Amino acid sequence: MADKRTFGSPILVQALDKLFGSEHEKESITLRESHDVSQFLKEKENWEKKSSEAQILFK
Amino acid sequence: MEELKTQGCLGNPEILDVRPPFSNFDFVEDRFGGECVPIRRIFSQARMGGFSTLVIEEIPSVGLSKEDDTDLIEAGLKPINRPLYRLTFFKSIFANAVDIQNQSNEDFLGYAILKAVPTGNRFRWIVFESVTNPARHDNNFYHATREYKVSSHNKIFSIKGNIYCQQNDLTNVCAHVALRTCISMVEGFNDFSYREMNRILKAKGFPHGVGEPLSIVQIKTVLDSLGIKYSDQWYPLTGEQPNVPFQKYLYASVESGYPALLGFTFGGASGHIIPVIGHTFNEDTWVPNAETSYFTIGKDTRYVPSELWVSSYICHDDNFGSHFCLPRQYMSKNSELFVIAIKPKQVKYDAINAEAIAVDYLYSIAVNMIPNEVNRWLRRLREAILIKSGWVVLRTIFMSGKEYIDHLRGSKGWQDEIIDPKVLDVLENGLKGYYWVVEISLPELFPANRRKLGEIVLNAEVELSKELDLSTYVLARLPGQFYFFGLDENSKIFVQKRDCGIKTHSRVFSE
Repeated sequence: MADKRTFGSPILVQALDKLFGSEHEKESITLRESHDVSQFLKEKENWEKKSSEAQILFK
Repeated sequence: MEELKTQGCLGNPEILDVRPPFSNFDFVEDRFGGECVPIRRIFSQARMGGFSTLVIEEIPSVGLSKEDDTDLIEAGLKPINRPLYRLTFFKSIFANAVDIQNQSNEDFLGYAILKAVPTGNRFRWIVFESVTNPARHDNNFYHATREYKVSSHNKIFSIKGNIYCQQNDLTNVCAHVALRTCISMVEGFNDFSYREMNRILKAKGFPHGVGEPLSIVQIKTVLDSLGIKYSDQWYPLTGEQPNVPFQKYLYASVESGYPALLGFTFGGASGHIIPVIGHTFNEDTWVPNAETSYFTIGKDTRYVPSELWVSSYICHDDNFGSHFCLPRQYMSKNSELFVIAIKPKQVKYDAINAEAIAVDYLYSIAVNMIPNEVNRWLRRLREAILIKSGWVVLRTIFMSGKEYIDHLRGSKGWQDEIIDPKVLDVLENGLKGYYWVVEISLPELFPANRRKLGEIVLNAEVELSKELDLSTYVLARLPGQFYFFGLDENSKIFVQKRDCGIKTHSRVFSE
């Protein structure tokens, strides 16, 4: 999990609290547990590494 | 360095009335022979732009052309001892050189500089460089044009576009000229010489031999040496293919104002590579069914990419000329492809990754929305994501915090509602870096009037961790509300919503 100081937008939230008050409700949010995106990114990265095998010459 | 574009001419210019019955074909054939196809293409473009007057000037070999000559001499070849021709195209009608002073930028359609280069024991003409006005169709989009100053008989005109150039097939080949176009489109570079490319290659241990093709390693070496960032992907002729189609790499670059290189071979000994500089947009694109519209990230995650409405990519091809439309599906089969997608120097991950991460956030936010949401656009968005399984359009653009806030300041909802300027002031103070702004729309809304429901903003300047930890998230703006994430004292994630002002849809970003 990311560092609390940098996670999300703490600076923006603090600045908005200062301007409008901090009574805005903080709702808990459940992030979905799908690993689709992390798997997609890993696969994409692997394919990009594999691109170094290409031997095409351009003229 | 002296520039060919602004170099004073030798002697007096020749001025021709090129309105019908003047024949472009006859002129090109008589003056430059029939070998140079790109010259014909450029004349055709000038004709389509409505040119009436052609100014022909002889200019000395200076600047990049002189460097080219030096390259030839060092390679044991003899440059052709002839002046270059600078051709400038005008919509307006005039007959005398003094009248050039009275022409305006609105009259000016562009220029081409023609150079004689050696081939065997004779010579041939090439388009050493050219910039022509590409804005012929409303639905052709170029997001990274540069403004060039060009002299026509000592009067300076401006033209916006992207440099087209043609190889001499000796000290530079198609990859050199494609690189020149691409590099000239990256901020900090106005133009870049072939000699400098060859110097880099030699210094890095990959020298370019006369008439030899360039390898992928050599192309990447030039870009790396200049600190130009890119994503690259290979599509073999046979076998398993990458999980991201090549069109997405092209789109990721051109939509954010960067070029891409598209290399292809149809199985021969060497391939060809061209710069991709823009795209078309067809709001009436027919999609046979919903399934083929989705880009699937995984079994539970999909969306409709805005690239779906691109029907062609706009490219230069040094063999044929400038501003051609390459149908997006044309290259898919029977060709081995290689894509180098240039990306902004500030980013730590590319637009494709940004879009995938944004869709993850969007699904998470949607899951937490209430089904009977009062805001009808928010309810429609939730249904599009959860019930219609990702029937949302995403469009990802790179921009600075200031550009994003300026865009929001100019945004209005369908009922003319705006965002509170005080909120925007706060956001402006907090958003000082560079961001991926992932615009969110619906397939029925986006192409019709280019409007959107909001966007997810990601910090483009932080590294992605191996496990997605949401550290790139900055904010989401959806109908009626901003969504900020945070961690509470127990390290539990919370969302804090703030009134957004715009409760409906607003225009997508455009420069």
